Amino acid sequence: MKKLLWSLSVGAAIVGGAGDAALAQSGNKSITIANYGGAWAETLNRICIEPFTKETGITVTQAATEDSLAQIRVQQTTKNILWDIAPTERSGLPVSSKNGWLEPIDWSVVDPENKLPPVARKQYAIGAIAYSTTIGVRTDKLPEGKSFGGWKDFWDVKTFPGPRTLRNSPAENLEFALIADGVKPSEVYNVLRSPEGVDRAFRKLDEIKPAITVWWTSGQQPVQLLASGEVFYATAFNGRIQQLQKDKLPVRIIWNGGSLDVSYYSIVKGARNVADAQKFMNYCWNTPTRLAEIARAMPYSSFNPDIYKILSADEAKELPTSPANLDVQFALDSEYWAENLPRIQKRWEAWRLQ
Amino acid sequence: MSDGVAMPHDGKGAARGRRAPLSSLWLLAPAAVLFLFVFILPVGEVALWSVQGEAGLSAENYEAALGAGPYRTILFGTLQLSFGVACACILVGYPAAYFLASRPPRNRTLLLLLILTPLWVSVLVRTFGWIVVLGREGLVNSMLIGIGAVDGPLQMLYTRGAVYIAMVQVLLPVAILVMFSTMTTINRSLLMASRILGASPWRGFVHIFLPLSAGGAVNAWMLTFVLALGFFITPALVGGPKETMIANLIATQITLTLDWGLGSALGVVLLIAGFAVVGAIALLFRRVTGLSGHGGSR
Repeated sequence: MKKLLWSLSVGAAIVGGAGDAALAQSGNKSITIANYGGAWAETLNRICIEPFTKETGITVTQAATEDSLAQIRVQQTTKNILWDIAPTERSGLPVSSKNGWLEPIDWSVVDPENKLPPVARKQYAIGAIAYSTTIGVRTDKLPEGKSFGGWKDFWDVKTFPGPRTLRNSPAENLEFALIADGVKPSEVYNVLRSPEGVDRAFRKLDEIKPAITVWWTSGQQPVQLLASGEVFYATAFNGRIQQLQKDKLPVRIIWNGGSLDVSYYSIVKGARNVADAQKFMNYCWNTPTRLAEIARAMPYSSFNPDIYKILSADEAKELPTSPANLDVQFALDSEYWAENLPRIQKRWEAWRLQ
Repeated sequence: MSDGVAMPHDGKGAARGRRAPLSSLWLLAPAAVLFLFVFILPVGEVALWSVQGEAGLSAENYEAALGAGPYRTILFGTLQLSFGVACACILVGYPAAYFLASRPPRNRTLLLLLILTPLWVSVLVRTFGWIVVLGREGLVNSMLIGIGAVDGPLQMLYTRGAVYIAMVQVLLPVAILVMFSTMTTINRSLLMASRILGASPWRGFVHIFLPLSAGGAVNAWMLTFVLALGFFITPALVGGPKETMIANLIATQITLTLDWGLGSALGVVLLIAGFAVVGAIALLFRRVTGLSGHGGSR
């Protein structure tokens, strides 16, 4: 059977090779960006891809993906590389760099003026934008005269009764539980890395479990649950909650104790057009004017500090990387999760079933 | 579709199969080639992954999948839920298929169309529809509160009941269709003959129609059972933690923890468990109806 598989992949390689040759002959340079679909892909198209193609003649294709890391692994193990740029957020970056699936970023091209802070300037990835997992609160369901301040209140079902939702994932929820238990946001990973840390987080999660009516799995779900009144308090990506506010729903964002998550993009090993991929990264994800436009279109923002020279104070206060919001959040430690997710995930499944 | 059970009353089928000349085997070739490349080979590769450990062959993934712990619990939960959903589909679908099969052919087309229409709507949309209907501020709760039947909203969403309702709704058309196609092949003059010989309509149904349509019902059961085993969007959206399906866990292993060995082992276990249940039902059915069929012909 191995032989059959082998001949199959040779066949695929021949067909694929013929396609390459045809592409090279046409003389058009192109890059392929794997990306999450929806509004983010449309925004990228309008603000970056169309002008980039007009200026450089390089065509950019977006390929939709929901499971980037698994597909990077497939492409690397079959040596059939379909993408130039791929999202590598969460465990994606540490796992892919450890396995040697990525090309190093040439920072002399992508960030020649050294504007980005270390969190966005990784050896194998650029931190394109950041988004936050924050608490969304239905203000019309709040008890009279009480103001909701963060994770302690999320856990306080006596003062703030009502159904809640959290994401079906140990990542972030263990951190949130520790903050509710009195740990400072800047200290959560030190506590989690200590031998007692994970136990302490699960013990705290035991307290809130009865109030969680649903564990959400897709980003749109908590927003729908808030909008329909199914839950009163939810974790959700900041941009989704802000969409509800635009729709005039009585919803407020709590940045306090939020989890700042960086949306990394990397160039995959063996990509066909590494040079143009680097150029695109600089053009789209490190040019302040375009980054400011992206932040206006969707409330997700870059770490390039120059965007706050372009954006008004009013616009800035809605963004995850604005100085005021940065101070009260913690940055999700993807290395911790790359190391510990498989082990903790199993415990999480068992805990949810109890 | 009916490869699951040989019809016990249809001995001709098997005999015809034996007599088929070998020269017509090439008719199977396109399906066989497709099946080989898009099913057998990939499944074989997945099976290989599942037994690969850090150093050579290893059963560690199967120990993790089948040992005491969350994976085993979820596997049994999945089998149990699928079993219940398949039974519910047969109970609800059988009368509908019976009704349909006893209409004159001209009316059937329209009714069939009505039953099939939901299949054209995406499962995701139908599931979200249930969220709207069953939610705290949804249709049912608003109505119940409106007429004063309850004081506060009932928790209907994120319960096992909600998963049953949503899954049965998705799978019911399939079950009806399979049973309907069997029922249309039943010779109605047999029923008429039983009436002439003095049997009541009920007795005619129990002794003639039910045994003749049982094969279709079992096929429909097996098909809905197997389809239910692979569900994961619906239970994830309208069920609680206890309705986690094994398919969700497999997806987590493949895309999140990248533990493809464990994911593959869970997949292989699910495949074997599915085969085992379907095989057991087929065997049981053959034995039971073999006896009753024998009794009936006397």
